[in-house]
Amino acid sequence: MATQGRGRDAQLAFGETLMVIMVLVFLIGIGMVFYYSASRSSLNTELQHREDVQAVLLAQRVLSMPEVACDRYAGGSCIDSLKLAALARMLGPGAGHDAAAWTTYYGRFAEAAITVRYLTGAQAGQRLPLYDATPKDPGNFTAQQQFIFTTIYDPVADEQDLAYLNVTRYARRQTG
Amino acid sequence: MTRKGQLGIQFHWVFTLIGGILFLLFFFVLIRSVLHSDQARTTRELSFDVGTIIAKAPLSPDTFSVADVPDATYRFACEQDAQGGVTYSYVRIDNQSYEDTGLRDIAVFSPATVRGDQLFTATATWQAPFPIASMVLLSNNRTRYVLVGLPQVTKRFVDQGNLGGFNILYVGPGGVSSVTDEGFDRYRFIYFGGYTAPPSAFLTARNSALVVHQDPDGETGTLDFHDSLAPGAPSPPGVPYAGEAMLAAAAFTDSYAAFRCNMAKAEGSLATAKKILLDRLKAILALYDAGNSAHVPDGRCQADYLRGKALIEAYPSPGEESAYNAYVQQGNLRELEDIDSRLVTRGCPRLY
Repeated sequence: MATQGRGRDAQLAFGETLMVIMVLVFLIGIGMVFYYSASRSSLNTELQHREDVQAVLLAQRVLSMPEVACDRYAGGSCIDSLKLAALARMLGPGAGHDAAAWTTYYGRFAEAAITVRYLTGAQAGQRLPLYDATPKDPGNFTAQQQFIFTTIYDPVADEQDLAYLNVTRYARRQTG
Repeated sequence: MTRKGQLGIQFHWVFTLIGGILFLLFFFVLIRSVLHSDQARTTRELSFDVGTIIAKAPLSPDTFSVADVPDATYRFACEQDAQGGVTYSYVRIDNQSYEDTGLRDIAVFSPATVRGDQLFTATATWQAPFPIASMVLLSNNRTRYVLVGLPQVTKRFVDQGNLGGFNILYVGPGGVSSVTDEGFDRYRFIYFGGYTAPPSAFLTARNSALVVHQDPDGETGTLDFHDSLAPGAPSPPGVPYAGEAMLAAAAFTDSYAAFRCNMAKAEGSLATAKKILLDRLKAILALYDAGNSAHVPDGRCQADYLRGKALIEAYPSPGEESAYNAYVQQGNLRELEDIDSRLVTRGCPRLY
């Protein structure tokens, strides 16, 4: 009888230990789920911040490209409208398309679309598509759009026109 | 105690031991994963910060800026394949590697290693004479640049490139022997004129030199790279340069290979800049030919336009580096610049 009682006590103690461990593992599991979801949310916020910064940098970079910059006589930092139009012809799908230039700029801008819209001057209201590498599967990308105002110098009319750059940068969605 | 009871107690201990080990293992894995994730995050942030510092430098040409960064060793590398194409270009922070996509098309001229908690950047625009590419000059206060030459020449070099914020020491043509080691990580001697060996304390592999042989125009010439000042170290033959920005780029890069690799990035823009320029000139000349009196420059502009057009069309093909250098040496670009200056003073549209 005494041996049977000790056996039941041992079974009870064993079951109790098992329960304590299971509850502990359950609590730790819940803690881990919270930790990883918080960590993932923070990572997503960080990625979003980076993509925003990259989009601003891309837009600013277009404005500061030396190859389309005005010469030193045009009063400092501005974009030369004829150079811009020439670059648009090289990167566009038309007759002036330059494959080597496209490869160079794709290396710089990757998946993005850049358009210039003139607000004043002879070309007011006109839209100049400069670069278009919109992804074919947009569902796999997130898009950040930036508008940046600038002045564009027309060397023929010797006038500064107001315009804005519409820059959309596509970043591949992070999986997992 | 019965034999069954003894077995029960032993099982209890074995169970506790296995459970304990699993428990410890679990916490070990958890802590390791948290630490690893934390380290990866710090590394990622640092990489992004340095990438942003470099990427935003070209946005403010001709400005000097200081960026505070975590104290680390930053190694800059640029590698080319046999055909001269840039294969890798990256910054490695404390031996952690980063993906190179951000740096592949930014020409960064820096010492191979920059140690410390600050990065100094300045951006020069390479013009030949029209703007071609932005060149990022990077260093910090632990690399000293010793400029040897006539004060008017060395000061002009620093003032034109807005390089006064870097750690610079001016020395007269005969004063190299008086330079003392003040404990900087490395010294780069830049000679405007003839080379005279610095004191023996500087003749080590970590220090380097550049000898600049300027042409009378001050904007072109030849560069002799001495990647190491260690006795017996080889130095490649002189290479031509065109423009103050290219000279500054050479001054900030302590190896010829890194200079060539980053120049390859800048030269990639040369072909595009040339095509844009030609297309632009065609547009101006088309307006001229169309006889639209509202937009056409007057007769005083015609001769310079036609000469300018002929000069621009005489550019060597992209990639023909020796032909391009010869072109620069011939002074055609200077003539083009003179034409442009005349057009400006006469109120004509610019050529570039």
